[in-house]
Amino acid sequence: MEEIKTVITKSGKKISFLYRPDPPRGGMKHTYFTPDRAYVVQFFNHSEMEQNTLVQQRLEAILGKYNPTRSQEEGGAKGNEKKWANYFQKRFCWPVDIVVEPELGIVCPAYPKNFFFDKNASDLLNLNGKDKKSTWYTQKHRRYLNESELGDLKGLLEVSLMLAQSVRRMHQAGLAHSDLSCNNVLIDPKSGSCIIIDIDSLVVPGIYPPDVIGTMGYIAPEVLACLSLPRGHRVAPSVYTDLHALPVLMYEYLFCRHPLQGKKIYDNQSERKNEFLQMGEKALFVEHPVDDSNRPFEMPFTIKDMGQYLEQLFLRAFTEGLHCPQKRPTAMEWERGLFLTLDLLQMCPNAKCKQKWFVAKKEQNHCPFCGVKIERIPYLQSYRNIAQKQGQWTFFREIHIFSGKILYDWHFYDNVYCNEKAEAVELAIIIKRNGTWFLQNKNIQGLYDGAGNFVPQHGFLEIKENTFFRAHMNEHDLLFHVAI
Amino acid sequence: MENHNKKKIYLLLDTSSSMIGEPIEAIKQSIKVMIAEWQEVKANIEISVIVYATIARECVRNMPLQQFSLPHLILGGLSFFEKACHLLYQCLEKEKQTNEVLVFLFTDGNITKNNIINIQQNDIFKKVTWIVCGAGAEADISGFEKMTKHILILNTLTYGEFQRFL
Repeated sequence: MEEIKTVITKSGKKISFLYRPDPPRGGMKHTYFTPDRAYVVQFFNHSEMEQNTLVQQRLEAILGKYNPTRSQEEGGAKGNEKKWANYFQKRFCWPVDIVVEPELGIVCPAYPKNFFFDKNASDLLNLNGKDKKSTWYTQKHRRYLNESELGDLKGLLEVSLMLAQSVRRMHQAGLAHSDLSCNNVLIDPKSGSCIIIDIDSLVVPGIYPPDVIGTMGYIAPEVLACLSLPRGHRVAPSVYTDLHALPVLMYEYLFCRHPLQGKKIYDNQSERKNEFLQMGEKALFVEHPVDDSNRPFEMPFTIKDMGQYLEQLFLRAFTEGLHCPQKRPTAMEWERGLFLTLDLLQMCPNAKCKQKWFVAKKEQNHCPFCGVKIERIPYLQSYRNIAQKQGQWTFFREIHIFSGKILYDWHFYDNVYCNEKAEAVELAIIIKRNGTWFLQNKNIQGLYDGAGNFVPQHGFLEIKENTFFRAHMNEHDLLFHVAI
Repeated sequence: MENHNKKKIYLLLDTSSSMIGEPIEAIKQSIKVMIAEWQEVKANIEISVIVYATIARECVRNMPLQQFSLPHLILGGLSFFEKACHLLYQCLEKEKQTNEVLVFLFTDGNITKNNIINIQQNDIFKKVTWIVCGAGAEADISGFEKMTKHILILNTLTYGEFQRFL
């Protein structure tokens, strides 16, 4: 039976919550819901935490000057505009208030509904109301989920992009999450979204040290390798350890396997020691290009199937970056690589293909996931104007198309990117009609085809091999060539 | 097609005590992003780095973009921006630099002895383009707004913001 209790927050508000004797309990906190279930009130498991002034100072700083989900005017991070704050509110479960009476705690938004399973998620288990931790999607229990719940390659890439953007935002502020793991990132592949939770353990380098070293499987090798050393000699979680956990999570989402768990045995006697070596000092990428001693017995698809951008990033993260933190790709580089890869996606013609999409590659004749033969379709090559050199263009990037693909401002300009600062204006849509590909102009003011014909709003431009088109808008607009 | 005009870039890094912690981490991440952005467009760039606190010193000179990485930084001391500028001007005079030079100043804005007016009166000042990058949650770079219109807040930096200066 739940009873209603009340707390007082630092901002003077009285907040009610539903008390129960057996609340959900994590490593650091236990959680209660507010009656409307829109917020949660969390108290620390160890009461001595509330005596620690550093804990209170850190919480105030997290809610204030380090807060990307509040604009500068509202007391959030410097330079943060309202639009950007709203963008990140959907990506973090950032604390909204500090509880001061009767004991120290925090108030956080409850996870959005799409991060809980509903009754249609599984016909085999009752998962209704459970959190969507990524282990449900990446490990053996994925077989209990209905296929509609699993998402596809596009959804998983979108989840990864959202995660990389969120980590980028923290790292640009010089902060580290310190415990990025399957427990602290909830994902929803159906909608291509994810949310980071447990923000109150955020690390501020040199000021607020980490409370935890991380979660096994995601702890960076250099941290694990020196755990047995005295406290002053250990490597603490930091931005660089986040930059190990981030690609581990993304590798698990895309390949449903761990990047360091292969067939190699490091210690025959002790499973625990084997795990410590496998994830720590002796860690070896399962797809290492030279040393294949840790290959798993089954690898239905590999990083080569994810396109050149992600292949290079995963190689950097798990070969030279594995034991050398400074060489790990930054979150911004992951964000950039994932964004470019999403525009290389083509739809698999096989309606039964589980991944539904694949990353286009030259000389590719079949879907790498289901093996079905694919027909070659046109794609767009964009070129940017070289500054100070009128009429000279340099290759910018490829955009692969499918019927229904929407083109935004970041497809048409070389200085607009898909992030919190973009206007996200729908400028055009790709349509296939009777075997012919068209670009329909939704919002481009100066669209011309290669012959110089103006294409008005709502008009159609045929996407024909070896033709050009351009949207004359400003000095940053791109020239397009249709290739096949 | 690459831009064959080699561009000289100077990074001026505030390494005073107030930069300890998340300001210097933000700078390190931002410089990595800067390098990645410029490498993506195959920019023809040489980078020099001046670090300053109580004293200023040049720790990297004319390193090509492809080989550049930030050296280990030692933090501590006061923030004598004026000394960094004097050293910058000496470097530029020695190089007889005629092409436009970009100078990225990474700081939390907390400078000892605010002498920006004196700095602005120097002839070499007019030859360089200043881009001031505010680092840290407490960054206050309002004092630099009269010096340049190019202000970046590293907190809210997104991809492509360094590329546009080339």
